[in-house]
Amino acid sequence: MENQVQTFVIFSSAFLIFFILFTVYLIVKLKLHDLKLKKSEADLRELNQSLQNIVQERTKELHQSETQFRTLYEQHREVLDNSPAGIIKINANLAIEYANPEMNTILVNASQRYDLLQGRFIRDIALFGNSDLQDFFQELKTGFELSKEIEIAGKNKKMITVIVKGVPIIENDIFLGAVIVVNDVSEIKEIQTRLTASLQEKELLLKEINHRVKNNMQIIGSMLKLQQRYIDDPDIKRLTRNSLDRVKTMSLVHEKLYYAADLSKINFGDYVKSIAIYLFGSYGIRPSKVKLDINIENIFMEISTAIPCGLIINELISNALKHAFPDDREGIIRVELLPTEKDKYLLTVSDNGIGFPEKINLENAETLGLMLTKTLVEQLHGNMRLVRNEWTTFIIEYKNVTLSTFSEVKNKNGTEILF
Amino acid sequence: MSNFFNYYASTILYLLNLVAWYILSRKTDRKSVNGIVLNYFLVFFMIFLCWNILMMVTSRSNIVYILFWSLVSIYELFFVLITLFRLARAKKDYSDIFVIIVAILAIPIILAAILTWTNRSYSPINTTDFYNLILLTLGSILILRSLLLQESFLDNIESFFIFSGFTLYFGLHILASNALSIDFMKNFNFGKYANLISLIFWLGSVFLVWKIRSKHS
Repeated sequence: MENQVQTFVIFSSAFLIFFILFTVYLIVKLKLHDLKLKKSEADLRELNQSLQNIVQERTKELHQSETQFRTLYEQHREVLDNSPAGIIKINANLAIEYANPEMNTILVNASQRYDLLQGRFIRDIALFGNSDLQDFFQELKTGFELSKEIEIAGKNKKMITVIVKGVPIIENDIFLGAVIVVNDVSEIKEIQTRLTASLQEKELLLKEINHRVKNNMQIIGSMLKLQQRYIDDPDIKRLTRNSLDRVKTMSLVHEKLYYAADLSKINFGDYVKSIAIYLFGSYGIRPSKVKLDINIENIFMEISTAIPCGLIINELISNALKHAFPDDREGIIRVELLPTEKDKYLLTVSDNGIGFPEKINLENAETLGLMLTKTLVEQLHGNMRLVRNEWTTFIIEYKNVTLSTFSEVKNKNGTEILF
Repeated sequence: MSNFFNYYASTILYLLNLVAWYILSRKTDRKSVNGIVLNYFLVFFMIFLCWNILMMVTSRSNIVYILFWSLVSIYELFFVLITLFRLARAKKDYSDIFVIIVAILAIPIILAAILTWTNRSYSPINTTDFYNLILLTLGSILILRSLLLQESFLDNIESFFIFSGFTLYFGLHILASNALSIDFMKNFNFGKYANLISLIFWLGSVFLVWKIRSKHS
């Protein structure tokens, strides 16, 4: 009996041990599981919080972007709505996606409201159905910007001129659409026409003035020539001829201007050649005896510079023809004009005649011709020097002057302008 | 048979437990609550081992029994109290109060030991043991509760198993020393196996702790 009780006690004890051990183990496992759950919950809460923070941050950024976008959109919309040009955006199928209010003004004749243009094909709009624009939109697809001026019927069926400009939208070589800008240029066109007519009229008048000045100078020249016949004194006769040469030189400028395409400038090389030919004729010098060598590049000069410069050349060539080649002496007269720097020229008039008299120098020259030359050089803001060797060379360096600088010189020096 | 279980078998189990828990305690942080509990637990085994060996050597000497009973009773109170104090994690230093409490609780134990020796009767020991064990059981339950409420439960698994074992151990000893209740010991000799049951429980706990640790480390 005692053995049975002991066996029972042993088994009961073993059962008790394992039961309690298992219970404790279960408690531990449950607790660990609970802790794990709590940790997961905490992690989830933390994750949720960080997600909430991210969402809040993103929402804030989105809100800011939206505000910026809205402001930008409003600005663009304002610009487009108040644009003086009609603007249309078309898609790749040439259907209208957007049209601004100005299109209403342009399309008023066609009774097509701008806000009803959306979704319509561009070919269906009367303005763009114009025969001149038939290929325009097809060409836009090639990716080039195009511009075309056409005439259409505007308000009150009055014809207006518009410039249609197309800017294609290309992305990755794919035509996505285009922006069409329509500008009513009728007023500008009208003003342009009036201005062109006015300019033509002015040009005609200026030509006429040049022509008349030239004629008047020729009359003066003719009168001087007539008067020469009645003058017996050779000195007075010479003086009269000198004046005649000077008048002829000036009239040549106006003649050249009359024939020139540009009414403000003349080809200076041609002008010098004409002066020289005239002077050779005037002094009866044969070109075979005294050769003329003109070396002037293709220089165009304003009238304000050309006249004094022409007069200087006139005086110096006349001087050479009169004094450098006496007794049928042969020789060369050389005229050179070279641009040195901006608006500066180097004029050289030289001859290989008998040479300039030693007793005369430029500073104390009393002859009218040289005095006149000096004055004209001053007017041109230039300087003149004389080089004497085998050749007698006048070297004049001057600046291209305009009419305003002329009046400045006159006021400063009190010098009388001779023409 | 019962002598064999009480001394030889329990000595072997104490030795096995000592080795197993020592191996288990090597990876533990010695300064943590868990480490401290493990240290005191190993000392507890060593005391018991000495007691058992001395009991066998001295052929169950009464004086050895009374001395070691006193020592073990005071040590158990100290162990439970220090663990409770540690788990309380009080900022203030309560070492003075702790010493006073242990000293007060030690008085009845020492008196019971003296009375038992002078009267030649185990009644004082049994009576004192009964009330002591109630206190220790309650203390162990409080420790278990406290451990379960700790955030760092995983760090204190060893302590949890140790005090589960102690709850079992103290509970069984109440039955063994209870002359007032159902007199379980007299009728079924159940109380004699209290130590063995607890030792087997602790030995089994080693395996479970190792299993949990290897899974969660």
